[in-house]
Amino acid sequence: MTIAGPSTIESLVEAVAQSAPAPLAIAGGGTSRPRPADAAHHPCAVLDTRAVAGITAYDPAECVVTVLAGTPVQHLADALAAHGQYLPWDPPIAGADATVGGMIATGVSGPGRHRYGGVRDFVIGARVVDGRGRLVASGGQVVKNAAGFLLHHALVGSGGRLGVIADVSLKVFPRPEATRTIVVRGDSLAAALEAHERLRLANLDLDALDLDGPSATVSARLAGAADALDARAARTIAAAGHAVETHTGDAEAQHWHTHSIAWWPREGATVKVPVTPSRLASILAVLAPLGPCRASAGGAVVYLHSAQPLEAVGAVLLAHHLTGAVVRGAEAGRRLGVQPSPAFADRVRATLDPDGRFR
Amino acid sequence: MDLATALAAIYPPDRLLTRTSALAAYESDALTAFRTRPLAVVLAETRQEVIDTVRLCHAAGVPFVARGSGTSLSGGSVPLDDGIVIALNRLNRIVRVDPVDRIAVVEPGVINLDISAAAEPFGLYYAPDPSSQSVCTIGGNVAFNSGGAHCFRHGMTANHVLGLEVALPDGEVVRLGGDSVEGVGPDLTGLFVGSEGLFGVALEVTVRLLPRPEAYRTVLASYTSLQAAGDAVTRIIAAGLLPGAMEIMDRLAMDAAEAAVHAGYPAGAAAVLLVELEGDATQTDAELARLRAVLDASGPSHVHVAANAEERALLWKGRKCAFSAVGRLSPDFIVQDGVVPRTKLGDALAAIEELSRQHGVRVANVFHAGDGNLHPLILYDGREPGALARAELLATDILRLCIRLGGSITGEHGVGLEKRAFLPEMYRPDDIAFMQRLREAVDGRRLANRGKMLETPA
Ligand SMILES: Cc1cc2nc3c(=O)[nH]c(=O)nc-3n(C[C@H](O)[C@H](O)[C@H](O)COP(=O)(O)OP(=O)(O)OC[C@H]3O[C@@H](n4cnc5c(N)ncnc54)[C@H](O)[C@@H]3O)c2cc1C
Ligand SMILES: Cc1cc2nc3c(=O)[nH]c(=O)nc-3n(C[C@H](O)[C@H](O)[C@H](O)COP(=O)(O)OP(=O)(O)OC[C@H]3O[C@@H](n4cnc5c(N)ncnc54)[C@H](O)[C@@H]3O)c2cc1C
Repeated sequence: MTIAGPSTIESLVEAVAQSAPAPLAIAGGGTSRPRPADAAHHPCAVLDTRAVAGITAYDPAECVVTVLAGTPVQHLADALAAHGQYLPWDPPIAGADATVGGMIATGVSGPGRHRYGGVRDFVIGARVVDGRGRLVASGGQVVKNAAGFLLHHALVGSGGRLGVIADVSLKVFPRPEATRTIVVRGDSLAAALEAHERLRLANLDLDALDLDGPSATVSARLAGAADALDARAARTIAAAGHAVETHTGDAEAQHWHTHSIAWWPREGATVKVPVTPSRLASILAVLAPLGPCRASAGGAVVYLHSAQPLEAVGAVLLAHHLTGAVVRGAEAGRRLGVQPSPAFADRVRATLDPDGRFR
Repeated sequence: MDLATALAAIYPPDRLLTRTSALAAYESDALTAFRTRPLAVVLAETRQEVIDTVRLCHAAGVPFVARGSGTSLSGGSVPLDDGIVIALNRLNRIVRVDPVDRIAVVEPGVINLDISAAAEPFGLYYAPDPSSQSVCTIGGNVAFNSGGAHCFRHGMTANHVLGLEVALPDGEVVRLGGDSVEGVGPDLTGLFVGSEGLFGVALEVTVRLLPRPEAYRTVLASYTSLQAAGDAVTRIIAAGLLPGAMEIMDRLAMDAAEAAVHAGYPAGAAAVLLVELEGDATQTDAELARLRAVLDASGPSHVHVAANAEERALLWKGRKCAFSAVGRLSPDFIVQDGVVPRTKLGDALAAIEELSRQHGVRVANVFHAGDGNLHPLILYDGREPGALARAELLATDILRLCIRLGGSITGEHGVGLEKRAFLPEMYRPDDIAFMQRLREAVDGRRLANRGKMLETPA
C-alpha cells in the first residue's frame, strides 16, 4: 500500500498518526532505495513524501534556506544558484528525483565536502514526525544555536529509521566565482595514490580531491576568485608532480559527472565506507576484489560498487575493522562490517519510534 | 556500602574532597549568581575512575555533575547539594595527534588551546576558539557545542568532533562516530554534542585538525553608527565573500579593550568591525581587493589593514579580552548570549540601545557578527540596591527580543541553569516534551546534570 502523498506538514503528521502503529517505509525520490515496484503487495505501507515540497523561507542575505523534505535537491540547487549561492557539501544531484529528505536521511555529501564539511555541518534545524505522529522541532533558522538537544544532527544518516523528516533549515554559502579542475592520470593505482597524497598534504585549499580506482585518476578542484586561479593552478600542478590535464567550464562539469558514481550500474549495491587517509591505499587493495572503488573528500570515504553478496562485503569490512552502509541498491540503509555500539542509538530510536514502525 | 565509603575505595583522600573549605572552589562557575555546595568532589585521573564513579552514583541514585574548568557562563557546572562533582581537569592527556589523518584524540580535561599547541609543529590547529580557550576544556566545549569567532565559515564544536567515547548516565560505555570526517548511520556524535552533560560524561574526544591557513588578511573598519557596521557585514556576504571571522564592538567595549591592551582601535568611533580573510595567499589577496571595495562603499570613517602578524595579533587581543576589559568600566556585569538572524543585527542593536535607555542600565556590545551572535555586556554595580534586578530584567528583555526576531536564546553559552525558563518560550510544548522523553530514555533516573537545561517536571 502507498499512503497517497500528503502535501503539507499537517497532512504528513496526520498520515503518520492515522496509520499508527502499522509499519511504514518512508520514501523520497527512490534513487537510493527503490520504491517497491508493486506497492499494493508490499508487506509494509510506503509513505511517499514527494508532495511535501517547496522552499518555505530563503533570504539570500541570511545564507539560510528552509525547505520541505520532498523538494527535489535539483530544485533547491537551482533556487540557490539564481542568487549566486550553493550547497557547499556538493551533494550529488542523483537524478531529477532525489529529495532533500533523502539527502539528509542518507547523509550524502559530494566531492566538495572536502573543503567546508559535509551535510552534517550545514543542517541547522529540522522538524520531524515521530512514530506516534508527533511533530518535533530542533535547532532553528540561525547558523549558531546552542539551545536544546541538537536532534537535527541525528537525522543526518538516519535512513528513515528515526522519523519522517518534514523540513530542514540549511546554512548555505556564496558560490565561488570560478573553479578549475586538475586531473592526474596515473600509470598505476600506486602512482595515483602518491599524487593524491602529495596534493592532499600540500595546503592548497582544494575544493575537492577524489581518486577513481579503476582508471587511476586523481581529480583536484580549485575554487575561488577568478584572478587567483592561474597562480593556484600552477602550484597545484607542481604538487601533483605528474603530467596533468586542466579542465574548466562545461568540460570540467562533464569530467566530474563521468567520474562520479552515477555511472555505476543499478544492479548490485553501492557501499559507502568511511576511512582515514593513512589507510586509503591498504583499504583500496582490500576492497578492489569486491568491485570498483572511488575515494572522495581527500581520502575520507571510499565508495565501492559490488555485485557480490552483501554478507561477503560485510565480512571483508569486518576483517579490516571497517564499517559501511549500502547507499544505493535494494538493501539501501543496511549497515555492514563493524556494528556501532547500540546502547545510545537504541535509546534515541526508542524515543522517536517507540513502536518500531519505521522500516 | 554507602557512597562515601565506595568513593573512598576508588580515590585517595587528596582526590576525594568533602571538607567545606575544599569544596568552596567548586560551588559555582563563571556565572557567580548560582552557588551550591556539593556532597563531594572527586578529582578523576583515569577513565576507569570516571566510569566507576558514574556507576556508583547510578546504583546509589545520587546525581552527578561533570566539571571541566568551570568557565560556564550559564550555570552549567554548578553542583547539586545532594550530588557529586566529577572534576575532569586531571584527565587531560593528549592521547595522540595524527598529522597524516589530521585528527587529535584527547581526554576531556584537555584545555582547548593545548590541542592547537600540540598540533602546531605539524602546521595544524583546532579551529573552534571560544574566548576562554586558554582555560576551558574540550569536555565543556563538547557539552555546550561551544563556538568562537569563526563559526559562520568553520562551524561550532559539533562540526569538529568526529568521535566520542562516552559513559552514559548508567555507566555503560559507548563509542560514537570514529576517526573519519565521513560517517554512516545517524550522526549520534552530533547529537551528544550540545547535550549539556545530560547524556553522560565524555571520556575521550576525537577532533579534526585543520591546516593552518597560509595567509590571513585582517581589516579593521570603524563607523559612526552601530547600524552602519552591521550593514557592512550584510554587504560583505552579498558580495560573495566568506571571511573566517567578522566581529563588531561598540564604543564602550572598544574603549575598555583599548584601555586594557592598546590595540590601536580608533578613538571616537561608534563601532568597529574586524574582518579576517584566511586561506591561500593569492586567494586572500584577491579577496582583500574585493573586501576593500565593499568596505569603502559602506561609509566607514576609517579602514585599516593589519600590516603584519604583530598588528593582527594586537587587533585580536583587544577583541578577545573585551569581556574582562569591561570589568574596568563597571564593578559587575552580566554577559548575555543571544542570536538573531544576521540581517536583523541592525534592528536588534537599535532595540537593545532603546532597552538600555528605558532600564537606565549601560550595555556594552561585543558580537560575532558573521553569525548574528550578540554578547551584550550589561553593566551594574552590585552594591547599589536594585541594580542587579534591573540588569537581570534587561538581560531577560534581550532574550525575548532574540526569540521575537527569529533567533535563539543562546548561541554558544548553553541553557544551563540560567535560561531553563526560556527554553519553553523558544520551542513549542511538544518539542520540550520530546526533549524530556529523550532525556528519560537516556537517563531514566535523571542523574546526569539534573536540573540543567530542562526544568525537572513536577
Ligand atoms: C546517480 C546517483 C549518485 C549517487 N551518489 C551518491 C554519493 O556520492 N554518495 C552517497 O552516499 N550516495 C549517493 N547516491 C545515493 C543517494 O544518497 C541517494 O540516491 C539520494 O540522496 C536519496 O534521495 P531520495 O530522495 O531518492 O531517497 P530515497 O531513495 O527515496 O530514500 C533513501 C532513504 O532515505 C529515507 N528517506 C527519504 N526521505 C525521507 C524523509 N523525508 N524522512 C525520513 N527519511 C527519508 C528513506 O526511508 C530511505 O531510507 C547516489 C545515487 C544516485 C542515483
Ligand atoms: C571570559 C569567558 C569567555 C568565554 N567565551 C566564550 C566564547 O567565546 N564562546 C563560547 O562558546 N563560550 C565561551 N565561554 C563559556 C565557556 O568557556 C564555555 O562554555 C566552555 O565550553 C566551558 O568549558 P569548561 O571546561 O569551563 O566547562 P565547565 O564550565 O566546567 O562545564 C560546562 C558544562 O559542561 C559539562 N561538562 C564538562 N565536562 C564534561 C564532559 N567531559 N562530559 C560531559 N559534560 C561535561 C558540565 O557539566 C557543564 O554543564 C566563555 C567563558 C568565559 C568565562
